[in-house]
Amino acid sequence: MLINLALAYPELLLAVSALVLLVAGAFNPKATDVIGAFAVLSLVGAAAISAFGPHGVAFSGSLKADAAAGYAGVAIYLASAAAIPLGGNWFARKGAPAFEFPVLIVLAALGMGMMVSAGDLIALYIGIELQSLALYVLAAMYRDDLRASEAGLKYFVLGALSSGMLLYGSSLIYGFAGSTRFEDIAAAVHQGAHTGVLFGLIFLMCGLAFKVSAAPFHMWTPDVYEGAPTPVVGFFAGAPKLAAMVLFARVLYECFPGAISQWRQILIILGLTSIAVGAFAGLNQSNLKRLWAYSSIANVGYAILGLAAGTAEGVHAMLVFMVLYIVDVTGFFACLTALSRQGKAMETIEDMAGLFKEQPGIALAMTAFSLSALGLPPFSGFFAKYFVFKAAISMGDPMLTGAAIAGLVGSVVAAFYYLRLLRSMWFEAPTSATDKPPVDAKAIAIGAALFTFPVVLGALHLIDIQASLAAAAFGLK
Amino acid sequence: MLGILSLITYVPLIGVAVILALRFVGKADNPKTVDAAKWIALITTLATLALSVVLTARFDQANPGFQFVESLPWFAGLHYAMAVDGISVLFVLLTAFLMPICILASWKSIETRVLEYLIAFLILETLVIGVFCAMDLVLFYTFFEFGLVPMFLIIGIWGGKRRVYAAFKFFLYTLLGSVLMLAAILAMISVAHTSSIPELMAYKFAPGLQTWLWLAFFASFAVKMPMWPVHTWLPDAHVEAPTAGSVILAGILLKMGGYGFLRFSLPMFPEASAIFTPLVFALSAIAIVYTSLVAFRQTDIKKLIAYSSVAHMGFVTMGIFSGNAIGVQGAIFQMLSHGVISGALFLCVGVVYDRMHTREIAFYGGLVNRMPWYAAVFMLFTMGNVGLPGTSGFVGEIMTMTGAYHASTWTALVAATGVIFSAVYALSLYRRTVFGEMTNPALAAITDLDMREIIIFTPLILSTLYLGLQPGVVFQITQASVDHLVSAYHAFSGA
Amino acid sequence: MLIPIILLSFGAVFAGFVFVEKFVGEGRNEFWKGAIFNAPTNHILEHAHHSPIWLLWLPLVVSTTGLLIAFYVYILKEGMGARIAARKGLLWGFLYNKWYFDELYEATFVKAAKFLGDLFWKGGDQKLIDGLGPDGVSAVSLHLGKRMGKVQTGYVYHYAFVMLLGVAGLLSFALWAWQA
Repeated sequence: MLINLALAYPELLLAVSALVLLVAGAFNPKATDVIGAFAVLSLVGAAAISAFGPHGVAFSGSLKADAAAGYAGVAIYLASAAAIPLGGNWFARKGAPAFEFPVLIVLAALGMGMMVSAGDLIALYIGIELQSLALYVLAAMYRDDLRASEAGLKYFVLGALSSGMLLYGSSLIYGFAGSTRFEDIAAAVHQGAHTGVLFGLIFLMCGLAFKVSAAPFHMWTPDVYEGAPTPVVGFFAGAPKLAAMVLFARVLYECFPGAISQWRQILIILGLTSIAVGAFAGLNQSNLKRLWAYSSIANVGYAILGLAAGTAEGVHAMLVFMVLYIVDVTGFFACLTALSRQGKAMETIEDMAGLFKEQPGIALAMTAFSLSALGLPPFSGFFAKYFVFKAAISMGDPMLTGAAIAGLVGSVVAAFYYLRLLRSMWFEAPTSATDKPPVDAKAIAIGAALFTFPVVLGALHLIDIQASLAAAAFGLK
Repeated sequence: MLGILSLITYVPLIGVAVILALRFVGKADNPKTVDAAKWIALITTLATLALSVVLTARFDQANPGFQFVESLPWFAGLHYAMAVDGISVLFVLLTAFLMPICILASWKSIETRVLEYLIAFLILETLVIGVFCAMDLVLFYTFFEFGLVPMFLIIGIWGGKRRVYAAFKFFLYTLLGSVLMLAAILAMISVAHTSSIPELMAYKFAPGLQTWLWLAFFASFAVKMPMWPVHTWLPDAHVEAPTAGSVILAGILLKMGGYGFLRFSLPMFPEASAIFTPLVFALSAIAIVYTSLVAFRQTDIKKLIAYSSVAHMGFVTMGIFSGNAIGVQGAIFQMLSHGVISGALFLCVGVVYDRMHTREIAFYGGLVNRMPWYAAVFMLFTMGNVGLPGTSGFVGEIMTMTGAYHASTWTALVAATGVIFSAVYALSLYRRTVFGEMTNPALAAITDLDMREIIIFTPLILSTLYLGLQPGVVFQITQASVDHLVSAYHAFSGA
Repeated sequence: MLIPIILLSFGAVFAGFVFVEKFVGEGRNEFWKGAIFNAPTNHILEHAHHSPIWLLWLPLVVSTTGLLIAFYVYILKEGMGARIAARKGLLWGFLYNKWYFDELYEATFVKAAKFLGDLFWKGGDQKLIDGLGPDGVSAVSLHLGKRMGKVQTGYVYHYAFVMLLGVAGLLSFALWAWQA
């Protein structure tokens, strides 16, 4: 029993600290800084335990602490830790300091940790719901803003629909396979998947596709990204996507390894639709948050294509892609958080005119993130795409290769709107002065930009190795 | 271990670092800072040139393989690998040669955001030299693609009226070709389990796969060269770019396409190259005639020279795919010669543009009356453009045509008519701008070349004449590698 | 000017006498020493000896006739040349305009080159290649982008409907593709 519990230490730590900080905050609502600091500490601690802690299975198969959970956990907890100072200070500057913010982030991280180490359908659902509820509240947290409330409500309603689909799918699977544990389902499916199980799988995939904002379940993304507070968007554009993708991989690879040729087709459809929507619909956007929403839809499409390969290389590629992508996204929204003009946020492409003169550091950082999302070497986004497309092409399957080529062409279409942003920043003349950027946002932005280039060139080796270990945990060839 | 190639590649970045440091110390608009930055850029590019000369001097001409090899493990089986052989070493030298000239040419004409301009050029130099030295496919792709960004900025920030359209067109057009090449690269690495270029050159890909790979690489290099019909980005990009931008675009960036064909298409996909040779010949012949006729009708000097660049690149592709040593040697020589001559022609345009701020042919006329030195220099490079014996332009053309004649008589014949057409548009341009009476009163005060411009043109004049009269110095360096390439091509392609 | 012309005329008249034996006569092998290649089947110089007499005399006769006519028109009957020119007859026009070769070239080669150049430039490069290629593709992409942007209506129930359509679509695909 005790050994089992040791495997859940990261989650336990987060759960305990969330509750303690909540109570502390209820008594000292003004101590937001201290609460935030402790939350960061607990997240970093959880990351450390994930990295170096024991591996195994606990709670009769519900919790799987393996290399994949460790890899994803480290990324998720560190990204969450970065989000806390970013958001906390943003709320403080708006005059609405909220001690609940770090607590909610910790709870969301807890949910995500459960998602990536889920071993059965119940744990999967609990993790998703815990994460989602925290995110819904975070989206609507800035109560005075109409758009934020709208964003949170939309996210909640549509998220409830997706959770319903997911649960329905889970129940179908349970009904036809006889168990909620992934191994048992895999054994039941092994003899040939019953229609009912496959239907359940599709519902489950649709529910998960909503979480990662894959098309056609993406429609919440632009509105929620635009409405929610910028640092919050920076959080939930990054870590939750990684968690959901790892969960996707777990469900598909561990539950349904026998049905690979079937769910691969679904993934290709989802991936190509996402890339198409992300590339074309973003062409018309001038609001940077919406634009980046479409960009993340397209990027998730690439990750899904990597997953569609159905091999260990595919999972490996997806894991590397998502981690590199999280850094880009966090950095980009940190840049947006750092920019303001006379107290008003700068959100459109036109606002960014002449940024090279006003804020050269942030302009360079945004250039790095844009080019990285475009997939241009030597930025991290290129290497992310390298892994993903290589996994897809090396399968030799003509449909997958065709999808990969279509994906690459889609990235050229998407390049247009990144270039529009670059043009606005570098070619145009500045309209008026920007405010001095806050230190924390600027630090995170520059740090993420430095990771995008050149740190990634050296770090790739390490990430690559860790991702291989994680991919091996899925037990594929 | 790192060696001279990495040194040559990254020396310009040292210049970038110093200029950035300057920017933090002094304000960007301070004329002293700007002056200091210009001198730093010039010194850096001259240092790179000196190192390149040392590299060329220490190059072993008898060795057909790769020299000055460097290799460091990177990630996932990829390597940071650099080397040069007879085919690439001269392109490194050409790049290092043209860069100080570009810096000097921009001395007076760029007035806004000078520091960023210099930084963009220095970064571009690093990337272009990296392309020619890279010995790992992904490293090559990295240098190749990233070079788009400084060029995009150069055209878009310091360019002409339609600079945004031209910059976007250039970037997206080239990017589209290149992502198809990326798909091919990924397929190659998956199949051959290596990304090392020398190993891939020895790997035998299945003929069916080769066809797709060849087409994907062709998509990228055809846009880069550019070949007809994917050439339309070039006139816009050249016209809208600042003078030095056009020089580096025509002088070096186009050559990356030809280098790509020589380094990848011929050695790695020999059967496919043999199959597609008629296609390349047809496109080259069409390019030569078509673009020469279009050049004849241009009213903007720079656009005319841009179209003539496309025509000259038609000779290059014809020579490369002729499959014999004369053709390939001629193609390499033509690329080097075109780099010098075309760069010089754009500089000539820049001379009058700096004074009069227009490129319309109708505006000019009778320049010889007030600018005799300019007329003489312009005449030399016009003759080089036409391919007059004695200039380097002739050697490249005669050799590529001879090589093509061995492979396909008709193509060589059509290309030969292209020589006539090049005389048509080049001499017509010269007559309309330089000869005759000076009828436009706005030209009454135009001044001849000043000392800085003479310094820029002198090395170009000397190169054109020296290469035209002593082309053997180039062939000695390229001979071994080209012979090796051609014999391997014949062995595997059965051509 | 006169002295050089007199000297040159001496050369023009007598150079042939001096060098004919060496260039094409009996002494040619010793002079050229193989610098000019003669194929063994080439007997052109022997055949030249058997040319008809009138051919040999023709150059002298024609040039002397021309000399006499020029002397008559320009020196004896001074002003006749100007009068012929003033009449602008057809023959005079033909000869004066160099057999109208320049106009012939202009009408054929130059016009054709200009026509083709314009055709390739405006019709080919601008309309066809750019229209189908970069300009055309970007116009279509932007149009598609606008249409797609309109799909995002902002209403939650529209989004939910799309999600349900997505599920239904995937289920139908599963039924059709997996025949289960």
